[in-house]
Amino acid sequence: MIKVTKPTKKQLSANVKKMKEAQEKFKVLLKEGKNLKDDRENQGDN
Amino acid sequence: MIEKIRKIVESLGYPFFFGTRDEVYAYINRVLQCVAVYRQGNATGASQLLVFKFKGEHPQKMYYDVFADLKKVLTIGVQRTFFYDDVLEVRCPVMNKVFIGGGVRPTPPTPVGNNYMYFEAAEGNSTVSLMSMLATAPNLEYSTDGETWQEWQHTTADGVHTFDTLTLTNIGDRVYMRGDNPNGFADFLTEKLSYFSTTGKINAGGNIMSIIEKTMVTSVVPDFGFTLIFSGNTALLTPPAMDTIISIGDGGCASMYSSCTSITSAANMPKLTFIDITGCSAMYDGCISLISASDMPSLTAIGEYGCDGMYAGCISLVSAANMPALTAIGGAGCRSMYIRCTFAMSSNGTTLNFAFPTPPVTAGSITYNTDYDLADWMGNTNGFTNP
Repeated sequence: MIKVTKPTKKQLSANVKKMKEAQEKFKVLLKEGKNLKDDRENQGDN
Repeated sequence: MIEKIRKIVESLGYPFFFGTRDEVYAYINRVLQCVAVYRQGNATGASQLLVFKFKGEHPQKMYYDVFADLKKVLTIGVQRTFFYDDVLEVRCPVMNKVFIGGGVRPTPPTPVGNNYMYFEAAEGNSTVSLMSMLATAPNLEYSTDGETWQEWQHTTADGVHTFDTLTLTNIGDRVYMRGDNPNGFADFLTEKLSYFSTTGKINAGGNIMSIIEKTMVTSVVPDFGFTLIFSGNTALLTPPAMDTIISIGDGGCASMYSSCTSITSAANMPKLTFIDITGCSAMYDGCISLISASDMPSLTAIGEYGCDGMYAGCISLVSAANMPALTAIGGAGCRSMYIRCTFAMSSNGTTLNFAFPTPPVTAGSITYNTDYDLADWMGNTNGFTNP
């Protein structure tokens, strides 16, 4: 059996915060990937 | 004229076919890639030849390029996804409106089984939800029996979509998931993502591709399709199945299960042949309970940073991933793949405890000699040398 519940205002607010934190991780991940590629290209140039 | 086209087409290595529209469709039903020509009346009643280049993955889903006109044969005009049972409008500079495909194949694509992804409670009152920042909330449905489906509704606040919480009351309660999200759950351009949120103890199972495409016909993880999607889900005991996947796009599974500290077995990917750039980077990073790595017997190529840090910090891991068919690794493709994994070397840090492939490491015209160094695989700076 499953119960389905709508998020409370408090949960919504907390989720906005959580997602912003997650987005920061995602941005770091994307930036790291880009930096790594740049490093690799520079290495290749040398 | 037809012979002229035939010669051009065949000189480019494409199969060629000429016939009526129905004959053309019957022909492309048998081949996945070809150039075909048929006559089509235009608005003035004049007849003209239409040249199409078809290429596709399977008969129900093909791509076609419309060649702009006969003087520009083999110049791509338009590219769209073509479904037999769609009615598509094609506009070309020298053609009037052309409708193709209508009623040719009324039968929709056959779903590949009903092995939908699911979450099952290993503890009473475990919960599942999803959060997403994507501009359009993911399209998802849930079901308790895999037959009757309901839209998984969400509430949006400050640009974050929070899906209703599904509470699995008793141990063994199961909820199936499916949806059409062909672009996946994260967006590189807007830097926005989605992730599941679970509590209690949850076993996942079934084919994860059912949340990319309900029919599960596709076997390709799109770019950033599952990036971070289960990250930090400590309630997750087992990952869903990934056994139909043949290719993982750029960042497709990056950090997908990172810090899922309760997972003990990685998902096997028996059909996987290619991991694109950063496709599986940090995929199981910090999964401290993970004992077994993925079995990837068909994997032949890893793109740049494809498996970078894939099992970083998996301190319980007892063996390396099985990748016997691997023949090419892009730059840093396996860099730090087993960093901080104690199984991988002897206690005095001098002997390797597993066999790893040493294929040539190339990316484009560059060869990277250090990427199959043991030190690189281990993220270790103790000065190992290649065996």
